[in-house]
Amino acid sequence: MPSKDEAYRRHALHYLTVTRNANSLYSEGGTSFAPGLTLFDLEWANIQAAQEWAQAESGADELAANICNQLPDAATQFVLLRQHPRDQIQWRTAALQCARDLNDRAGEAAHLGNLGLAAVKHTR
Amino acid sequence: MDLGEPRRAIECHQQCLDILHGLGDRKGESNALGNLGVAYAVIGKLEQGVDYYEQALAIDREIGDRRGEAQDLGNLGIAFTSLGEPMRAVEYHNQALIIVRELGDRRSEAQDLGNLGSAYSALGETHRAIGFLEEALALFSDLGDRRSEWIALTKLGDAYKDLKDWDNVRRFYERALTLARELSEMRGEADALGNLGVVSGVMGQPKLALEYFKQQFDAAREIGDRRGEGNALWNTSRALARLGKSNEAISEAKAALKVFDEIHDPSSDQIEEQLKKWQDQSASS
Repeated sequence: MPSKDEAYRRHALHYLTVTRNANSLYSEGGTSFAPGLTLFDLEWANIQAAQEWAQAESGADELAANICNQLPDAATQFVLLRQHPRDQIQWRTAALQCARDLNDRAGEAAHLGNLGLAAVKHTR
Repeated sequence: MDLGEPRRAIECHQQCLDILHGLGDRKGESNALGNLGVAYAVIGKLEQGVDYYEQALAIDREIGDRRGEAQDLGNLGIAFTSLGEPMRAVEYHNQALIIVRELGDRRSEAQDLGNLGSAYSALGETHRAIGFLEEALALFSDLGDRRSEWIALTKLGDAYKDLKDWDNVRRFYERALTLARELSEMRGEADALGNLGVVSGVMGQPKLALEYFKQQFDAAREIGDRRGEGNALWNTSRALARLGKSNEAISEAKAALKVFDEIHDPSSDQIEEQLKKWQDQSASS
């Protein structure tokens, strides 16, 4: 039986995959659009829990840092629809730190760009 | 990290641009430049915005990104309308429109049509503006883009106001109000209510106008929009004056003046002047 920590890791990794799948369906458009959005809405609480765990553990666990870094882009279509800009900023700020820790320059640029967009939106 | 202001957005986009430049990601660079342009436009530095849009346009043309090119042209058009150069804006939007139609990108086509409408309104070619805005509205409606539909309806109301075609003004503002409420756009709702109040006053329905202004005030107060509150009070004051209720008009004008003074709004001067006239008239009668 996996330890509690291992269970959290597996949960977060699983929901990163679920988010990517939902995002792909949604992005395909046409008849896949609605199932993508439904899947995301159904799993939104789990996805948020995965992000919270990944952010909290990112300093000590490389997998957590990777999940925290990748989750905002995996959920990119949905966060625009479902997340307040304030929360988008919170996810992206955490992801930016992880990208820097992981020396992921492309990820760092993506988070910075999205932080800029969210900041403008938050102002309007 | 407090990013509740566009200046922080500029910092983020600038850092993003530096990284992407270092990575040789030309498309990313062009996106970051476009985003920088928008952030500068938001803080009113339109010339700097134009500079960034032009840099983005040069890259998108170099790498053959037609969608990006159309986006940059559209951004330049919007900027030039705001800069008071609507003729240049029309040129940019027309170029953008050709590209998005080639690409079959209907959403961008609708946006460019709406922006062309704004540019022609600024040029004083109101009938032409209405034609483009109607086309944009129909496309947004087809696409189910309710927010853009609401913006187009408001612009159409504004355009008919320029023509003093009050029946159409009312028709479009009423539709804009309905959509603003559906979308929970409180600021849009307050604006639409204010506009409907003004139209009602013009159309000889001062009591209805007062009712709209009361609703405008409540909506503005609910979202903490002080300028909206001041506008509603000033609108109310003028409507009361037209009804011959001088004392009430003066009282509302004083309340409006207090709000505009608090937020250092230049409307204070105009209200102060009118208030003085009413007070003099009241004293001499």
